[in-house]
Amino acid sequence: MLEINGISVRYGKNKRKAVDGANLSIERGKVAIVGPNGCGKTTLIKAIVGLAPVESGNILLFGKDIKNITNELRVSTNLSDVYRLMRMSTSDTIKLYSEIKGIDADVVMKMMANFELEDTLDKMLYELSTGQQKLVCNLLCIATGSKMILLDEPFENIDQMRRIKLTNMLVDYESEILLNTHEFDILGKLKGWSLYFMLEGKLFGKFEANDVRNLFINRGISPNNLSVMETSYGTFSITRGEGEVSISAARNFNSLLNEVT
Amino acid sequence: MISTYFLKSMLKNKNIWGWGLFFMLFWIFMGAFVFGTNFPDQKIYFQYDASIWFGLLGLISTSTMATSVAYSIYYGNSSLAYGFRFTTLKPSRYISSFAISTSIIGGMLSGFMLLFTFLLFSYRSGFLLTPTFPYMSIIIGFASGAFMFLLASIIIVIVNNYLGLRNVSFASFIPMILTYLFGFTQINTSLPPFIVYGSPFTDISDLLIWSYYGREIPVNLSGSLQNGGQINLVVQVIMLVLWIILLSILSFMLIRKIKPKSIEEGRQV
Repeated sequence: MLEINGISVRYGKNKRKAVDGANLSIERGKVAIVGPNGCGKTTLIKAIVGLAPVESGNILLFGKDIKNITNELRVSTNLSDVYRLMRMSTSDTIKLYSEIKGIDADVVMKMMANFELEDTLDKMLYELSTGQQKLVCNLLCIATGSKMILLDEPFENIDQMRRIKLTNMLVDYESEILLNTHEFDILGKLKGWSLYFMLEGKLFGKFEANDVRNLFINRGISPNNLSVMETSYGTFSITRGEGEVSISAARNFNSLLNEVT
Repeated sequence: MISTYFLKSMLKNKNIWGWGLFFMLFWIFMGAFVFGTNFPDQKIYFQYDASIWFGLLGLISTSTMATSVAYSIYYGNSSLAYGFRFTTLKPSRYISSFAISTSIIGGMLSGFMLLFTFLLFSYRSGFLLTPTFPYMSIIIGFASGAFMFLLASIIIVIVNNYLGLRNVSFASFIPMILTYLFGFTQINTSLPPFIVYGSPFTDISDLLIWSYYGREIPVNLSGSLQNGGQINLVVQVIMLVLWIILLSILSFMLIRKIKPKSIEEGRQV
């Protein structure tokens, strides 16, 4: 369904590698990618939907190279950049995107009501708070019921109550999901999901997402490690059962790295 | 119908109405009451004068829309790149929907220009300067709207894909700059026939002038009404249609390859 074969993406004037030789394959199931801010998670999703220039490697979606994909409705994303086709109210954005995604706008409207977002409908998308914008984009993506949805930081700036609702929605989603986040608290709830860590553009894994409470991060190469992560600020290894710093004890990846370095 | 959303968005766009209508009303007022006229006190001369102002301002009015169109495409570059890949949106559908919407707005602007030119110039001259072919003014307004969209879309995609978004602000004004260039040079100088016929800007303004005036118009608008050759309007219609077809093809070829760029690249300071 999704095959990422050694892709690298470079950005900016200094051509920094945002994604560095990433490999990932999703045939069936749901995948979470966890990493600190700036590690390349968003760029990876952008590369999958053709919004970031892939320097080397290739990405196949349903067996087709993304360079040759047109009008493929089986993939959706929550990236806000893709919902700016024109200057419109939230309501019109929902109607337009429902039309071009071939879904019933009422489905999205019901979801909006479920998340108590009716008062945002008459406002422009850019007038909404960051959390509201994120929720609208999440719902526009999820409502498509696409075979594969790509969610970039779906929980960012979202209050606890809606976060729980959203998590349940994602757990119950019947098709494949690729989700990235820098927060750990959500992982324990993602039973049956695969988990990858991303650091400096490289993917490490795979692990079980709800096994995160048993995972530890260690400086250097520990015996019985599950994965070794070579980074510019040292070598780390992931172990199960015991180790230096419990991954689940950290709130997010940045605080984890602060602890371990 | 995605053109409904484009149309709704443009109808709510204060820039289009501010620059495309209200600023043009100011110039109609200036044309009628401030700029001097030294022709005989006969209806035909006033009709001709009103029609020239209508032709020029009708053209400029629709060109102001091109700036908004350019910004819409610039802000939507990632949405378009995604849309063509992962939604039912096709380049041809996007272009035709947007062109239909700009045509309707172009027709509306042309209609307003026509109405206010008629009212103010009639009041000023004391003659009832009724437009001869008002429906033609609207149709040419439609064509002008489509032309301005296509031109703006081509320029902005070239800038987005190949030249860098630092130039986006200037690029968005190119259709308007060309409009002023061709519009004013035709009125104030004697342009060679290949420009009068070959330039879509002069084609539009001449056809607007004719739709108001109702008689053949001279090639040299700055000269006397009776002297010199008359413009062959059929050739101008053909040239304008050819321009629209050519730009439609170019726009289609370019927009389907639109590259997603960060809109922050367009920030000037």
